[in-house]
Amino acid sequence: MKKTILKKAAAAVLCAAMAASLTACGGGSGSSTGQAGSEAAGGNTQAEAQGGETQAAGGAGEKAEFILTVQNGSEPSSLDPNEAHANDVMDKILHMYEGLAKYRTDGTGVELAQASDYTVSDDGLVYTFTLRDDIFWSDGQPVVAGDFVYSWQRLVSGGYDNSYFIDMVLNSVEIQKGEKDKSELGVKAIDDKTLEVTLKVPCAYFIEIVAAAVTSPLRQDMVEAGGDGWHADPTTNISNGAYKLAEWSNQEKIVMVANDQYYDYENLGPSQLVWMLMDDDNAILASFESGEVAYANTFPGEEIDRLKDAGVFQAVPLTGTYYMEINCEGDGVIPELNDPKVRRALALALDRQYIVDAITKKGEVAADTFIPSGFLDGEGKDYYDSADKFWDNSDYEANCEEAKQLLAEAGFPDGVGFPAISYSINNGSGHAAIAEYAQNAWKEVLNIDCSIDSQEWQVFLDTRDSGNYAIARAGWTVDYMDPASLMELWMTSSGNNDVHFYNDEYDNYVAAAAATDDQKVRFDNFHKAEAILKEQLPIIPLYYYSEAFLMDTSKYDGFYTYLAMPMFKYVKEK
Amino acid sequence: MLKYLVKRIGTAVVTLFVAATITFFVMNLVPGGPFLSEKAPTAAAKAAMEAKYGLDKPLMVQYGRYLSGLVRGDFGVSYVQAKNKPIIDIIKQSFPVSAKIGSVAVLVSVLIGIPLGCLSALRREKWQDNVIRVVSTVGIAVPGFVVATSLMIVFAVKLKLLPSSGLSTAASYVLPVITLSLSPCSYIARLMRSSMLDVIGQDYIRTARAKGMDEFVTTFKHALRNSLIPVITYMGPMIANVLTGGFVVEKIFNIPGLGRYFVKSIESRDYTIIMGTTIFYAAILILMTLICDIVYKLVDPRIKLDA
Repeated sequence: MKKTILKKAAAAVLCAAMAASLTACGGGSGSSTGQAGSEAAGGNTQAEAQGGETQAAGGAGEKAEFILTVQNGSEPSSLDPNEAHANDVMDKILHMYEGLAKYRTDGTGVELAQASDYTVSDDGLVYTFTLRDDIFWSDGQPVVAGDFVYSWQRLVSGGYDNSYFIDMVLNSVEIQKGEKDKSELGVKAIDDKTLEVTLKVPCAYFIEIVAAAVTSPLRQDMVEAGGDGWHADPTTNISNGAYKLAEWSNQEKIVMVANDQYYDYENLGPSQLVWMLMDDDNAILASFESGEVAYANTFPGEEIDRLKDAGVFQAVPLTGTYYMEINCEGDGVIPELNDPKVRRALALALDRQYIVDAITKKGEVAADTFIPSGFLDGEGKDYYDSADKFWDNSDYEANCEEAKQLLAEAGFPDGVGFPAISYSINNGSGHAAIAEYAQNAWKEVLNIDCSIDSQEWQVFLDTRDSGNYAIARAGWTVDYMDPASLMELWMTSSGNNDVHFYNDEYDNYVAAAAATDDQKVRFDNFHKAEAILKEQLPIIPLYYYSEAFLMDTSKYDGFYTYLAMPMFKYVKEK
Repeated sequence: MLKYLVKRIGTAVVTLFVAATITFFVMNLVPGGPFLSEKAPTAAAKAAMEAKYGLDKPLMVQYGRYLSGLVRGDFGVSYVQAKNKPIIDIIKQSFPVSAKIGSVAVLVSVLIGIPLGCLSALRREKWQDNVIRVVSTVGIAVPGFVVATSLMIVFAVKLKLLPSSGLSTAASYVLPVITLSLSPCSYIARLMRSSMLDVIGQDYIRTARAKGMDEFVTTFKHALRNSLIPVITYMGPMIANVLTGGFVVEKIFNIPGLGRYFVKSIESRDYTIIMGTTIFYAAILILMTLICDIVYKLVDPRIKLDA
């Protein structure tokens, strides 16, 4: 209790001091602004040290107390932006850190954030970002271009899962392979407020990349001072975003407080953001229902109908696709499945509308292409609208007829002589229900026997990776809003090409799309590549994902989400 | 006694070594790995990560390195769950939490289980015995997650009497402790009952009664003491289990204990945590068994500790 009062008082003093520093900044301009901010910040630290005695100064900018408690994932592996891999971790980091760009509050894309402006060279290879004047770290020091350079160099040289995010930056891949020194990365601080990034190839979605959690700037002095545990310690995890770390109780909760050094501090919603780190579906639902958490995105599937009735279930489209993979190469291959006619027959025998309406029920949409909607070309037209659909989900009867006919054409009328196949899934998360449905549908429509092979998660990943399966479930949600995030999966060179689909023509189209930032040319190439998927069907798309969560929106305003990252920065009570 | 202790500690070291060795190789035999995920890292990134943690070396080299670290008290750092955090820190942080709630549960189990068992035996075939037998059977049979979830729904969600997660207040101990102690408590009651019945039928008790010794003294001085042996045998592993964290209880009630790390590390192939928690658990188990053996002697001086 005492601690809380002290903290509050310290926060109040900080606010007042920040207001003073803002005034100081107002007088200056250019690089001297940063200086003024920095000095004022030095003063803050002292003010904070004496803060215990000084009661709430009540100065401008003091935040009304509003503690928002939410659940998104369990204990994060780390709060180090470069380490961020899972969505729930990136989400927490995006509340603490801010890159050159950020997600728009209407959830439709990205806009500039720490950068106030940028230019692109004519060849699309050199991006020059100008940083905002009013950006500071949570300890009051100004954010400089060098902080980005440090973070990006660290990302490609430190062995991090997500280093591929900046593979398009000059020399990035070579540095990851250890062939070049990190100093050769195509990112340079021209001066404190100017960052120059040189790409290897033009990248139409580069602004999406610089909004990602992994590309956030980092404070070299703090990272080095804190050692391996720097990110878990509020004194060394100094951040530049809307919130700053206040407490991390392992396996229990993470507490963040509004960062009074953030340029939009005035408009932030919660004064404190508490992330409950929970594992159990039922316990999470119980916490939500008892009012302990205001938002939860993990809950038992069986409860959906009841939660829908209660009006707390929400679902928004999530750009990504759930599909079956048909193995093309490896020990588990069943040769009969290599015939595109057979694959199409298997695909058509499934009623996708039934799957989303009666099995998954979380607002998913039946898929008729691999690439979901949501990707806009230069003229604002959706890629999906002009895509050649794989099939018509609205007429299942006709699809079944076509499926039977295709199987007969492939030499197996009424399934006679067709070998038994197997469908590999990982246990849990409702995959079994879909598998059982498919097993049943294939038997009834095509008279094909299918066994279900349910495996533990890591065993399953190994099975899929090594190609030791006939058909396996899979799914992919995009890391950035561009079809490339999905299309590049099936390139020969892709590390995630678990179907082992190797097609030169496909590779060429996707590579051609990657070589330009002309959206028209890119989308044309993606359409051509997707047509190959339609013809060969190495994968059978089932549905487009949705992002489902529990939140009583009649109580809260200002919530938005983008790329499956719920944003609580501007949430306010109604 | 000293000789006995030295011998037992020597055996313990060998046991730990064998446990560590078996765990190390079995763990590496199981498919999967710490850096596999739905979105696999690129080959370059994966190679860099493996190099960072020495997983690119041959298995025997990794084993040698691990053992030499272990001798120096270095359990390594986590690869997945708590990136780069020393395992020793994880144990230091989470074991006290598990141990705290565990010791309350052990205490509750003993303080309730033993009297119930005695009562059941002394009122054999009476209604008290029947009730206790039914309740204890249910207590053993119903799995922890059912108990935990039911308690949570009733007391936290519906009645809003007790908190559903964390350990911030005394009230938040109630549900996890009930869940943790229900099964051991029931088991102790049943053990106590059968062992007490056995002892009561012995000649020396009959003699004591025949001599007209006070019933209370007969029961609590002679019978109770001698019927405790099976309960003590059970308590060794039970205490080790409960202290190192009930995974189900910790998961459902969101308690930051060691049990969660143990199970999650296996799911995520976080090799160093698997090793660290296994060795730690083995050590506690060995220690508890040793303590039990010593307690035997205190309870029953006829037992010799010469092994």
